[in-house]
Amino acid sequence: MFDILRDKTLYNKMIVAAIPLSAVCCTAFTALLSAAAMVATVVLSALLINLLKKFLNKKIARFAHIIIAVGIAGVSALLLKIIAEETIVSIGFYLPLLAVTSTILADSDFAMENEIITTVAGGAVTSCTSGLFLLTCGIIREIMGVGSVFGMDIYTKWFSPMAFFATPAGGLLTAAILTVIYNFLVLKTGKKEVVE
Amino acid sequence: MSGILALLIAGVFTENVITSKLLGVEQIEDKITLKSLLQKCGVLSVLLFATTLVTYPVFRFILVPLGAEYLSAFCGVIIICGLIAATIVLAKRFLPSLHKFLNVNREVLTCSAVVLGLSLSFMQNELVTGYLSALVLSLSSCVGFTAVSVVFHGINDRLKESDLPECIKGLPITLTVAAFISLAFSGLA
Repeated sequence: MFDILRDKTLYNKMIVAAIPLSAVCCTAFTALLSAAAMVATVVLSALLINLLKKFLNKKIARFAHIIIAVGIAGVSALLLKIIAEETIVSIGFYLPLLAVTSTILADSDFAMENEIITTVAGGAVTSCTSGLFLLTCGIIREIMGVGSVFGMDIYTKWFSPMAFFATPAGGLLTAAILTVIYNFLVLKTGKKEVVE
Repeated sequence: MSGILALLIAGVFTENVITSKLLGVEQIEDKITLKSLLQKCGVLSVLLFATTLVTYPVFRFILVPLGAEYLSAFCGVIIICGLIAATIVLAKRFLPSLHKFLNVNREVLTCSAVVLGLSLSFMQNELVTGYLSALVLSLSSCVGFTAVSVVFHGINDRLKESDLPECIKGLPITLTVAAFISLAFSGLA
């Protein structure tokens, strides 16, 4: 698990895949719902591609993957609408875009070449890491931008929230800060490879 | 006339695909030559415009009256796949050099968040009031997307030469620059 997280290219891919969603995930609750939808879409689409690999040509595997992932993302969106309609409306067209995220995080070639457990585990690790990144981003942005966590006020009078963190620019800056922390920890633990 | 001008400015600056919607962020990290970048942006722009040309009427005049908006992403992906296939066939006949590029990158283009995301975003965008406004906004979005990609290509070239701490090099500094460009563009709103 830690070796996967230390992989420069993979970490880069996971961050870049999660960034579009961070445009709308400016609260912890929104980020949590998006992360849950992301994990479900990535894992289920990888599983289905693996199950259908006997019937799929390698050339069309990626097209099949995105179509399956769009279907699953649509179902996730409808299910989340039952739980929190207002939040889902605020996420808007970014939920169907999880299909694109899914094709980045769970490669169809990987799903076609490996066993079912390896495929599901690979999809789960990458999507959970991306989801965790999204949730961390959401928590930081809610604290800095709104002054609360999951809707609970945590600040006293001496701090006024910075609206900047609730904007897409704030999402990019938070992602940059988290990547710097990641690089710092990787460098400190002796691994000389950083995200470039 | 002022409405069209507003849409043109919005597509390039305030509603920019990369800095405002954070779609196609992988573009700012691409380590490719300027020529390849422009080729990629050109193809994506044509695809984006063609997708809007087809998807907007399908969404607005078929899916919305039927109450089947939840199928918009599904229809969008199918339309994009069809358009890419059509572009490849046309390029094979008229532009052989482009055909090679399309054949190599067709999977990347199909799974591009920019094309799918932008065509879906027009359904929720307050600026889009009709077919013409959707086309104008998609055209200006193409210009904005290409402009920001080229700007980032230049910035990345300069950053490669600069002496930065090890943990800030690469993705973190690119994202930081993107955040400040996004902030600057949103100031024009």
